[in-house]
Amino acid sequence: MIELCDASFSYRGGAGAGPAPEGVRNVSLSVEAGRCVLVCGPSGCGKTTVTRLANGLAPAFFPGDLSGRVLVDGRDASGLESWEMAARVGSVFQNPRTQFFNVDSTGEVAFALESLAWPEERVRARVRETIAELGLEALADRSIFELSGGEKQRVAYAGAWAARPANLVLDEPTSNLDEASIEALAGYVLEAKRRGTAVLVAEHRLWWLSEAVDEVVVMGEGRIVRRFGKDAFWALPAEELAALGLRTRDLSDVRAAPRRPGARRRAAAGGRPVLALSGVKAAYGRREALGGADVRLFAGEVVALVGANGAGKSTLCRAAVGLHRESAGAAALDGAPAGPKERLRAASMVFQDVNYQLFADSVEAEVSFGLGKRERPPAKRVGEILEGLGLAGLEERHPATLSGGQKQRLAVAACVASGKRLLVFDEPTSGLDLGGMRAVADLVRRLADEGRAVLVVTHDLEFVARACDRALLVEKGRVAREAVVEGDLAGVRALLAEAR
Amino acid sequence: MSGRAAEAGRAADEARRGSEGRVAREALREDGRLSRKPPRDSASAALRAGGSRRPFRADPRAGLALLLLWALAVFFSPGLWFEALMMLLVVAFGVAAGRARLALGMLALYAVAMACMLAVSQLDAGMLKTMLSSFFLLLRKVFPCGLLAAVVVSTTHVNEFMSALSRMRVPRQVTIPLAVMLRYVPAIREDWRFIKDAMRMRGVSPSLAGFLRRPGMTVECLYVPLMMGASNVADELSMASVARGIENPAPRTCFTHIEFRVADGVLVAAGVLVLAAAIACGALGAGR
Repeated sequence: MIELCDASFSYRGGAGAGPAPEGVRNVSLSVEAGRCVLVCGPSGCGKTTVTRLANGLAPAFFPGDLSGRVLVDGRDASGLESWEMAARVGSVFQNPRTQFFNVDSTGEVAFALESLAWPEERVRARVRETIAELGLEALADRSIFELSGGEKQRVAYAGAWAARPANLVLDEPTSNLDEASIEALAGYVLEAKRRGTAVLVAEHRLWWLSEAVDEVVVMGEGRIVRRFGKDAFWALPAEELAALGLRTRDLSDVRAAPRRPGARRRAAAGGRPVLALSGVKAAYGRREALGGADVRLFAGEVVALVGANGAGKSTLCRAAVGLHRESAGAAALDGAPAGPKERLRAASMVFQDVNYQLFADSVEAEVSFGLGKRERPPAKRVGEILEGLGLAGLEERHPATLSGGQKQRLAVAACVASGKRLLVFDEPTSGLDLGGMRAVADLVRRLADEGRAVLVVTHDLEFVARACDRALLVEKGRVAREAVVEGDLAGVRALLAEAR
Repeated sequence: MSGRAAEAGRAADEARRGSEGRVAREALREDGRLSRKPPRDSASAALRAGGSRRPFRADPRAGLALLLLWALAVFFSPGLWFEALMMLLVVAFGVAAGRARLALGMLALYAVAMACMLAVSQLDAGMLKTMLSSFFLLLRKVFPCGLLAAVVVSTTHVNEFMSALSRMRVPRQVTIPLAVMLRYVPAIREDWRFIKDAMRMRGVSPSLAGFLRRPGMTVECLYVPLMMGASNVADELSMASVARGIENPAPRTCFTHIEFRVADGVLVAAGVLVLAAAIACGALGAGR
């Protein structure tokens, strides 16, 4: 059981490069054994801080000032050492890449038990039992570098569950996951509840918890703004939900946004595509990753790319922008044959983890980084680009100090400055709240409306509905089918269902 | 016992894997984010109730001791012949530990580097010769230790390492940062793939030629994102490990059995012997 009684917390000093996050004020909530409480709200509302209070990381790991009381299983958390808290509360975090302390999956499941200094036979038995209970046999004894994000997150859950803690705290556990893994996680939460575990979840995505949740707490600016029982929350009108800045509770409610049919008509009229790949094959060593993919992307359109893990989405994107050389097939830019080098000059990718592609020491320098003297845009143009992307006034800032959304827009600014005509985004809305998702959708839309072609790898139906014109399904290294984004999205839903 | 959770887990697996079992796992590598190295097997062997046929695994303490002895021996080494001998010993150790490809590859590189060194020593004296010979001297000394370190690190799991240090009563303030480092090294390889792609999209070539043309920019491209990533990763990694009770002062256990065996004793004794030989040969002026 987790209880927060009128708890307030403010962070002391900045942790690392970023600005110190906002704390929370006067939060009271209680998660009883066998119940699940969902904390939601827009980014920066303090829901992550609530999870940190519940698992003791604030103030044990994040220094700050706490007032009010936090009780775990009836004991005051301030009287417990970090490892005593760890034994009572199992935690799963947002990023599957950075919560693995081991390099092998089975070792990770054992980690918490080893910390508890259980004798090794008992650790082995419990690890085996946990892996069987969660159906993770196929993931045991694997190097974490060959697991997908969803697989890692399930192993991370097993690591938290191995000690059978009385409480579980999950901080945005599904931000980086595909639907199949999210459903597995939903099953785990139900099972934990059934076994009498108190579960506290902070989340943007709500639909996967529809069965498990007992109480919904909506936060805003560090305070609790609304509370709902399960039924009251699910009875709430959709407009009110959006007004609270929350994502959809039910994916079947999502409808396509009305859109000017310009790009679609141009594509239908057989205009010249910005990029055309026909029969493109690509391989890693002897293993074929693309087996004859055909793609045509037109100026002014945003195309979603869906497909299961390993279907060839990444290779297709890398081949499209010229990062991966095709072994057969033809590629053309604006109708003229184009090799990988030409494509690399005309196209660019924006990664899911945009930190990898920011190189300069100021926002202004980043925009023209890597460009030769003649290609470099004049200072005035750089200013215009930054202003257009909402980055005006940040010219002197170091990219590392920007927020996630600002970093993403900075990466886009660099692509705009170098005149790229095809932009590929990899999961740009993972972990974003409603406002953040809409901002990215509008940005992508605008980039296309200015005459570029945009390809987006995504499984976010709300995003597809708002931003995209078409969706392509990649299967076994080919573009198997496509669907137009319109009306009740039946075609897109069918593709997404096949992409699992 | 398993109930819904297991079902959900397996269903997700099947959904992901589709009908062709191995295909998905293989295809995953295509993403270019994944290590091509096969998964390590010591943990699995231990879990399957102690497999008897597996590569030699040194106790982490023996590995660390050997590394220290090796570094000292290289320092006292009387000449190239001695270091070449040490290199051969490490290669044998690497093969026994199941890292044959790594060991033999490094040996080949070492041989090429040493051949170059001997060729350079035939050159007339001059700036170039001084520069090159000091470079090769560095390689000569670094290789035997570097290969040993690579073999030890790549065959020691983080949890074995931590448990061993904790039994040696090394304070946690030392163990935890060391373990984070050990954990972070393989992650760099993963990061490098992304960075390489990002550099190429910005028109900076991530190759040796690119480095020679624009050394400053190439280095910047590498370390800026690595540093940015590293500080994030280190923070989040520490946070996750605190939440898993890493700060518990009770001695950590380890789910694989670790034990200082006779073979480990022999290994350390061999290291001491090599060090003694290096000092003795140096003192007697052998190898001159």
